[in-house]
Amino acid sequence: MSARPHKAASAAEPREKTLRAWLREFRAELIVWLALMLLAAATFVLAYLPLGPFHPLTSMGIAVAKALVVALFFMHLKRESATIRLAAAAGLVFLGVLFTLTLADYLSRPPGVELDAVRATRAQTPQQP
Amino acid sequence: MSSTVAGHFHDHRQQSRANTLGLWIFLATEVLFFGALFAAYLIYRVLYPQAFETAARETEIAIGTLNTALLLTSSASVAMAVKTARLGQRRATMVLLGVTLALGLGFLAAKGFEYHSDLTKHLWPGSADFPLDPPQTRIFWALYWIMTGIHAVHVTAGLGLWAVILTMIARRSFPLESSDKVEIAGLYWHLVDLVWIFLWPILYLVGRS
Repeated sequence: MSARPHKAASAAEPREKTLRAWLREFRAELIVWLALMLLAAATFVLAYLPLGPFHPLTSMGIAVAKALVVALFFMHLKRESATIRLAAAAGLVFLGVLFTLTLADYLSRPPGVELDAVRATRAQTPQQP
Repeated sequence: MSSTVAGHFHDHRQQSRANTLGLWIFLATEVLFFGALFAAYLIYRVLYPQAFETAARETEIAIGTLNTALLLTSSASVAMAVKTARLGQRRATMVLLGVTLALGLGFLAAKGFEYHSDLTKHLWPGSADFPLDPPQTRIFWALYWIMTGIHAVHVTAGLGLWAVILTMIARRSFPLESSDKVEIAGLYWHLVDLVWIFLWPILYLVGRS
């Protein structure tokens, strides 16, 4: 939106626009919508296929693709100024810090420690319903 | 037109950029807000993968998938409304925002049916009749209620915004083509859609194969 001045009210809105005219006007939005629906359909089908350990990979990969499509086209990040892209990226950078540091703890614990701790507390406390 | 520019801005373009930047900074805080919940989900899923698959199989996949379609479509209608608003096409903008409101209300209605069904099946973590084993399945269901609940609050807030803006457009309270109200509210709405784009696969599509 950086270089585009706000246009003053363009010529009076035509009373009746043909469906064709609307389709032409919203061509970009409709293509993006169709892409999002196809990606959603793909995730749904893939979720039922026997992919084993690849499930999280495919479903998150497609979710990231959908998010990018929404951010770039519907949220106009593709044509925004550097300042605004920076603000958008800042959220993701700190999200990255949150995930990296948290997982650095959990994923580096020796296996079994968690469960042993749970069992130990269970043994001391009366059985829960 | 100059009447819509606040005193502390030079011109319209500067005001509009400041509005957009401010909203993006708010969206970054929203990303972190939901991000913490996603991080909690990831940790427990890594710790208890089997329990999470067992638990996720019990979510209402038909309603979750319908809601994905509703929200994606509402994002498209918002993107179209942003376009028509910028061109000053009042009637078209009102129709498109009306469609968005209807899709959002549809989302909340479906969510209501879903919550009712979940409650009937005692699928809340504190239930004495919680039907699933092992106990860690309750962690999944706690996250399910918190994450979808907070997301539904965001949808409700977005619908409130659209209702106010739609009323203002109907009353001609502000000059449509020189205002960025629709665009700013649209950014928020797209973020709510973005969150759902990630909630749907992790809550509904796990453990289905």
